[in-house]
Amino acid sequence: MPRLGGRNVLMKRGEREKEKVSRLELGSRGIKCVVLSDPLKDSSRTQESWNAFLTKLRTLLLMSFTKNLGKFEDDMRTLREKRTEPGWSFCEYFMVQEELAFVFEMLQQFEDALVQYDELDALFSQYVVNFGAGDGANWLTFFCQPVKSWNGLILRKPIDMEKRESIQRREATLLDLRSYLFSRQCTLLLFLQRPWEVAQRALELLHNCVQELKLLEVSVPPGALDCWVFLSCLEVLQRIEGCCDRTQIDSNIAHTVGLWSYATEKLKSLGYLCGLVSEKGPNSEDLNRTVDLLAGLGAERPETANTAQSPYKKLKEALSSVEAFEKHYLDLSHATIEMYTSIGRIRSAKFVGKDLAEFYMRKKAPQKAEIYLQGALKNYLAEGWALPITHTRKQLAECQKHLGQIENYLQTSSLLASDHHLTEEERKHFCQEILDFASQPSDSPGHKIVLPMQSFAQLRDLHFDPSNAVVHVGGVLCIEITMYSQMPVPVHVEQIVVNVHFSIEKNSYRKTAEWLTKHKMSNGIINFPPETAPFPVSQNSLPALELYEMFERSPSDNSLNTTGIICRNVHMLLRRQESSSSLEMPSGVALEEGAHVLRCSHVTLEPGANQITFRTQAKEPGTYTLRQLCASVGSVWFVLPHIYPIVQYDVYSQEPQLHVEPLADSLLAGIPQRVKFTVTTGHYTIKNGDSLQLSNAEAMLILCQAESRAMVYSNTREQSSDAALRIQSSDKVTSISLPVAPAYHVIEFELEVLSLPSAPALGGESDMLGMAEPHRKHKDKQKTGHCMVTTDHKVSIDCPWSIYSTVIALTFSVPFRTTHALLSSGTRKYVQVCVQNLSELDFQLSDSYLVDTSDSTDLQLVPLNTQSQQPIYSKQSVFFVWELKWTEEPPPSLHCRFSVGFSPASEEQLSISLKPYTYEFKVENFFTLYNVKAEIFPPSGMEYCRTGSLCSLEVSITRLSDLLEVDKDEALTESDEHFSTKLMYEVVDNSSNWAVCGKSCGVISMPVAARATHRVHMEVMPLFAGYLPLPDVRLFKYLPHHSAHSSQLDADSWIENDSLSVDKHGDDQPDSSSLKSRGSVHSACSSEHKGLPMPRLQALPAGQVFNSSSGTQVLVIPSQDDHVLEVSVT
Amino acid sequence: MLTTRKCTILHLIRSHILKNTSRSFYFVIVGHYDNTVIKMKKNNHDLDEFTAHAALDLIDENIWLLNNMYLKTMDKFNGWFVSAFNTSAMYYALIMLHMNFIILHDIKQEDGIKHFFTDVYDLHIKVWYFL
Repeated sequence: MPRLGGRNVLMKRGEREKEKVSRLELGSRGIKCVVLSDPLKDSSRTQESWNAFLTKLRTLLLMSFTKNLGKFEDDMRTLREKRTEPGWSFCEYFMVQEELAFVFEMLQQFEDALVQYDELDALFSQYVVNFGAGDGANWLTFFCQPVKSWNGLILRKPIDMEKRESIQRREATLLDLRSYLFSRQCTLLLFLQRPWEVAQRALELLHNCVQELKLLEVSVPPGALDCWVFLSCLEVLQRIEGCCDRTQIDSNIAHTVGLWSYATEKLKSLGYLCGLVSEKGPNSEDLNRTVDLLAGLGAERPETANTAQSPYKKLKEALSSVEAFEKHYLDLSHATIEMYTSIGRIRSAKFVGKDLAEFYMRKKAPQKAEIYLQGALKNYLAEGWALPITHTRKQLAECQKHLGQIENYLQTSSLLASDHHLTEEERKHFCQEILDFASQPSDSPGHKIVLPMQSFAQLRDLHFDPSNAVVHVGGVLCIEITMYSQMPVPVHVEQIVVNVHFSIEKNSYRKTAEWLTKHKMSNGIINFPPETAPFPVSQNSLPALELYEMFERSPSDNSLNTTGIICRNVHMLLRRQESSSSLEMPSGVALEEGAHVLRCSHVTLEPGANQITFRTQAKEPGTYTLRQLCASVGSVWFVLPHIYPIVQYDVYSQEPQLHVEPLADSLLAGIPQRVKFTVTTGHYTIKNGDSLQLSNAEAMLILCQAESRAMVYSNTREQSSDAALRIQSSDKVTSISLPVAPAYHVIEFELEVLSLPSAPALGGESDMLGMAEPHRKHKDKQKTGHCMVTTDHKVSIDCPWSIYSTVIALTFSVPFRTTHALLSSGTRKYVQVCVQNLSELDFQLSDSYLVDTSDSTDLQLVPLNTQSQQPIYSKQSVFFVWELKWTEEPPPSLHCRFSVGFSPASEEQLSISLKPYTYEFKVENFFTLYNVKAEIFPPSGMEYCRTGSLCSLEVSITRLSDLLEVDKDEALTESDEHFSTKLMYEVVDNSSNWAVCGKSCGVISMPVAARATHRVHMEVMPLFAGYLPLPDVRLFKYLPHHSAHSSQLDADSWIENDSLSVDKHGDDQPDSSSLKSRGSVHSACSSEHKGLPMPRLQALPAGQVFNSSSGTQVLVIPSQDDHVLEVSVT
Repeated sequence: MLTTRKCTILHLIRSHILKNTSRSFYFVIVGHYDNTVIKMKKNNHDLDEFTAHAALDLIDENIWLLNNMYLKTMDKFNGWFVSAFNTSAMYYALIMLHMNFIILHDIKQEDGIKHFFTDVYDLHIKVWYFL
């Protein structure tokens, strides 16, 4: 609301009528409004009356103003609403609204006054924008008249009446209107103490005006706008400086720096326009233009005429001479850069610096330009702005060329030649610059200019041949690299060199030939990551923020004191970026001079991918690391200082080696088997005449085959040749002539060897197990199936490369397992031989023989086998039986040799005759001495045995021969020229079919004479009905204890009372006694038992006892009073 | 993957710009490390990228002062208005990345520019998440 101002007219009138009571009459009705008392009277009433008067007056005045202003505003609005009507004039409306603004300004209401001008500004701007969009207003054409005066803003007068009048007369140009409007806004803003807003608005205004003139297509002489903007910028800055002190200005640079920058820019373009930057100075055309521009400025205004540094004077001076321009331009530029730098707007500072550099370049001062260009370029590189990089680099290249920095220039040129943002022609130009320099004869021969490889060409991939990058000494290694040339034209490179670092790792398993050939990568291709060229490298590596919450609580009541967020890795994020690593400086690439280099000469690198192959012959064993890649073009060397990822190849030296291994899983004895010989030549070269000398093992033959051939492979398993193998055998030595093979090759050949079946150890007594043998064998089959008897043959081989013999052990497995058994039928005897095939192969057996080695003429072995050829399949058995026949007294023991010819069933006719398989064994005590016969009779008066009723068991033991050699042992006693021996019988029924009543065993004295018979009677009771097998009757030799005086115990009593065990190994029934007794012959034979001398029992050999009633069965019928009928059927 | 995204964004933005703008412009998406990600132009000026780059100074200053993503007309340079839009924080795998969209335009048109930026931001988010 408007306040009552300094207008005290009413008060004065009041003073003049101080003695009277005044009446203010309003209208004809004479209404009393206010009553005033004499002000000189000091009474409360007087005071009150005046106070009331003043209050009323104030209110009324305000009401009056409000009413009038409201009316005014209404009228103004009505006028504004008519703006679409033809003939409406902005200038007219401008005057109306400005009147309102004046009123507010008079009332000290600057804010409201400013609003009026802002509204006018917005309205005008809108019309211009609409005009640009094609919606033109007639009145706007007044503002489209050509610009004739560009004397800038005038901000020193509160009201520029000159311009105001021109607006009133509708003669103002756009610039006049804008200038007047802004000068008024500026005045009001300064009244409002907002100088920084002036600066901001000024910048906006200047840009807007430029745009508006363009939009309205107002014809502006070249440079006129630049002059206007320059003058205006300086005017605004000086106006602000005029109302602020230095410290205020310094702390508000951010607001004014835009104007400084704009002024600099405009002065620069004026300089270029007026030929003040060119080397030769302005020409006549430039001078004419300058004169025209100065004319447009008009005369200096009187208010600034006395100031020394007025914008007008500055511009005039700057345009007057080259030197003055330089001075002013440099002043402005430096001031701007300084200001930008001080407020941290580095990018903007660099941008101005880049303009400055351009100026210096024009002025032929490249040394001054370089620092600005480098600064700008570094900034652009760090942030990866490709186009600015290219642009700046181009300028830098020119600068470096002028400065004669050959190396830098070439480097920049190479970067530009590979820059895809440039045109093909430009790239070719820069490439040509390098090539031209390279082709120049150098002043100092041998001088090299080393440049980074990156911009010239990039290493894309690398491929080894052999692909595992392992090569033997003397071998050839190929390295094929793909280089992607960045140059726009084909470049002839004299040589491409790879520097190789050599290191020896001795005594390391990792470097052995075996390890290297097995473990190195197989494809041999190494890819190099492509360069991410225009990307901020330094910042990219910054870690992510690590933020954590932080709470601090009061120790007393645990209430929250402070809370916040902590960045834990602030030291990483805020650390200073290394400024030293200038990306454009030659990066100090050092050229390594090593003894080991790979070289490829005279290569033309086409633009794009190029394949380059290096070949090298490996010399010293060790590891070679590829370190540097250099390409030389004349005296220019492009160097890739580090090849990463690390690329290595290995050279190894290998001792010659011989391996002998069977082709199959295991070698079988007796038949020809193939054995593979592998000779790894290593560093040794097999010459003509070199041979392997095999000292023959006794029982192993090396079979010479005429057609055997040896294959020669290279180390990479590529077959290189094959040759016939010459084998010469003598008694002791087999000589194998090796084919000629170069070093680091492999010779492979196969030989057939034959292990002669050696005679196995004699089959012992334990194998003579009589009838039970087949069962036993069957049971053991699984267990013994996998363990064939093996024989080792050691062969000593003399190799040509060594003075020492190599001893090789070959293990042969005997494919068969043989057992024998003696079978009896009364006194007739048979020998059974079982051949079990343990191998996986099938064989054909033929010509089986069993001969008595003791050559007793009396004995005959009659074969019962009918077939002469007999197949034996894998894991199966074949039985052979011979009957023993004799005429005189049989020998106590028999030495036999079984032999059978065998050959693999699948094989064709073998070239050699194979030795038969033999098996020797010994059969002892095979002659039958005793016949045991058992009979069971039903109780008298009964036809059949019945369960539960006692039956009689008659056992008759008959001696079949007179005294023989075998009888002569401890048990034999002689009395009255009669010999007798003590036997013990035992009746056992393990199947619990019978209950033996009374004594089940006893000792008998058996006369040693033919047909002597001993009968024993016993009572047994059948427990089940049916056909029951008879109980077993066993016969033992009863050997007395050596000391005759010891108390002779009744055999029955100690057998029953004690645990004396008997050798019952003929019994394989799993009963408790057999568990106790198995394998305890020792305890049975032990003469000391509980300190007492014991008689000993010895089982009669199976061949000596023939049980003629074995297998007999007796019919037992159930007893009649049995309620439950149990029938056992066996 | 990134290239696909880039291409898609570029394509969408281009079609969007062509639909909505006929005047000359220079548009650039500036990545987290102040690097250019995508740029496109419709004029013959060489110095646009320099201007856009210098404008990053003002954007950096104003990001912390203004609450809006749209930073209005930040800078005026050589007859260009520079408007910017700051995505402030896009969370990709818990890494805070911000991006700036900068457009250089020759006419003051706050609403249109704001609308354009919002559309581009929309496209950007969609492309980023759905590709």
